[in-house]
Amino acid sequence: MQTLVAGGTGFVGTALVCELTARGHDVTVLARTPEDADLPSSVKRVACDLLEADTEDVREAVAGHDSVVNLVALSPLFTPSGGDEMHERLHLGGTEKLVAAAAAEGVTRFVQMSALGADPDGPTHYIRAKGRAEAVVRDSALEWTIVRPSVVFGDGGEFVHFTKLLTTPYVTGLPGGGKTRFQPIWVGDLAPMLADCVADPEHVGQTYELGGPEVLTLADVAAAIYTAAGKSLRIVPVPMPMAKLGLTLGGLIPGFPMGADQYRSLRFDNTVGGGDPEANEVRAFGVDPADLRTFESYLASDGGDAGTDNRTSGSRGGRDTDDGPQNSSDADDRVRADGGWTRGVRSLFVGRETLGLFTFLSLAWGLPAVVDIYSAPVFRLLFIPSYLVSMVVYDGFVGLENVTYAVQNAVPGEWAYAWDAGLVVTFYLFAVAAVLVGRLVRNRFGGRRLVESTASRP
Amino acid sequence: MSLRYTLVGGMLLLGLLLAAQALLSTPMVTVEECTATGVAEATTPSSTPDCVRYTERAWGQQLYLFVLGLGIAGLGVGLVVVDRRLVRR
Repeated sequence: MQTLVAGGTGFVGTALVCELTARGHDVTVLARTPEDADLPSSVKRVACDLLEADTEDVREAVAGHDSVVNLVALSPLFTPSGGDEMHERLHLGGTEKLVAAAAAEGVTRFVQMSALGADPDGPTHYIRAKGRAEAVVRDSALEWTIVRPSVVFGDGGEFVHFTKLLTTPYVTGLPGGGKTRFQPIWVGDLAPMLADCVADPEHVGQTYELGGPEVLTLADVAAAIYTAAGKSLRIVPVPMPMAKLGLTLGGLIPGFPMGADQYRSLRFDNTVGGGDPEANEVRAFGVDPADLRTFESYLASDGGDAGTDNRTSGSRGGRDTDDGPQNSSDADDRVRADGGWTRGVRSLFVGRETLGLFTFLSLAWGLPAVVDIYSAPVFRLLFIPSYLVSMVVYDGFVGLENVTYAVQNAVPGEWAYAWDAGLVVTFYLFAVAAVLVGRLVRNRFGGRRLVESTASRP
Repeated sequence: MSLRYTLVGGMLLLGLLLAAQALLSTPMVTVEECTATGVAEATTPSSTPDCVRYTERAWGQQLYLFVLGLGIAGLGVGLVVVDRRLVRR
């Protein structure tokens, strides 16, 4: 069977492509940068940006295939670069293009990966876009199947990353005490079910809600992750109104990875039939929910550092392949937001730009007291930035020197250089603030970002 | 890129803080004006200075700092505009 997997270089896509290839399908992946993906050599690759491509481009990619699987997605866990409107543009717009192209090219089977709770009138941009995309698929003349999984975990996935980003070991605050419930399903269990949807006619016209073997709260998930890493965890409930305020305000900051949508999604459970095991439709694929892999067993084996260990554990049949690094085109926004945010905060305090600016301000201020470097008038200009920072931030408008005086008064002893030490600290804080402002401006208005954001779209 | 936007960040931060300081602070200047009355009737002429000191708001300094702050911030904005144009070409 000739199968096109749109988003086939992503987290779920990679596992599905391996599964389909193992079943003898001739697989083509459609992604923005398919050449970077580590996929079986027999897989054909088509570079296509569903946001930018017109229907003709997509038709060209779809032509000659019997079935199409649409896995192209943005994460609901993080605000996508380009804003929440990207959900509508990609999930709905991308699906419309694929469905139109599939119908025009005579494709028979169309498998749409949606999400639990997909609803055109749902509470978040993601859920609404997924709901509208489902409607497009249902209204088509194709032989369609819609799969709505709960959160998916596995190597290269984002669920563990997201939880780690949201929490800290030992003591952590969680919105509402982390009572939001999930039914995580392992990617190695989901991929064979998606492959079944492609091949078996019995799944045509069905919408399946799929979950894992257990219902876990966010607090359970966080505790399991840190327990697997040998660390304890104590949850401190964060009142939901406070979480709402924090995420809503955070969402207004350019580059902040979460926003109001993430708060809204935390208010609703992500379970099949309210967690009723009988409602779990994995049985349609001949699978007993009890046979599915648990989150805990995944963490105990190799998932403690999920995302750094790139082994894919294969299908239900026990295949254990080494697929190498996974290029998550359907997850790259969130992975970038996740790792990028942590690294960004760290580099803000110890990055080259911060330390460089701090060194410049300190030397320009302090060196003239030791070395006569400013005898030439041109060098005197170098003193101006330090002087202005000192004037405005330290002994002027912001008045940080008052902190120095307070410390001086509180701690007994001789403080000959307290004022100067306070000024040096001020230079450092100013450097941190300047780099932060620079990054915000670059992300919001910078010319280079136009190129980066284009490249980051699925 | 990073250096450019570090400079932009520094200029915007410093410039806007300086402008805010100029707006929110009230620098004062003390002026002393003197007039003298001369008496030439005696053998030795003498004069009695009559000086008045008064303090008033230093509008000039405030304006200078405000314009300086906006100028520095404007340089930062200019750098962003140049960056965008260069990238678009």
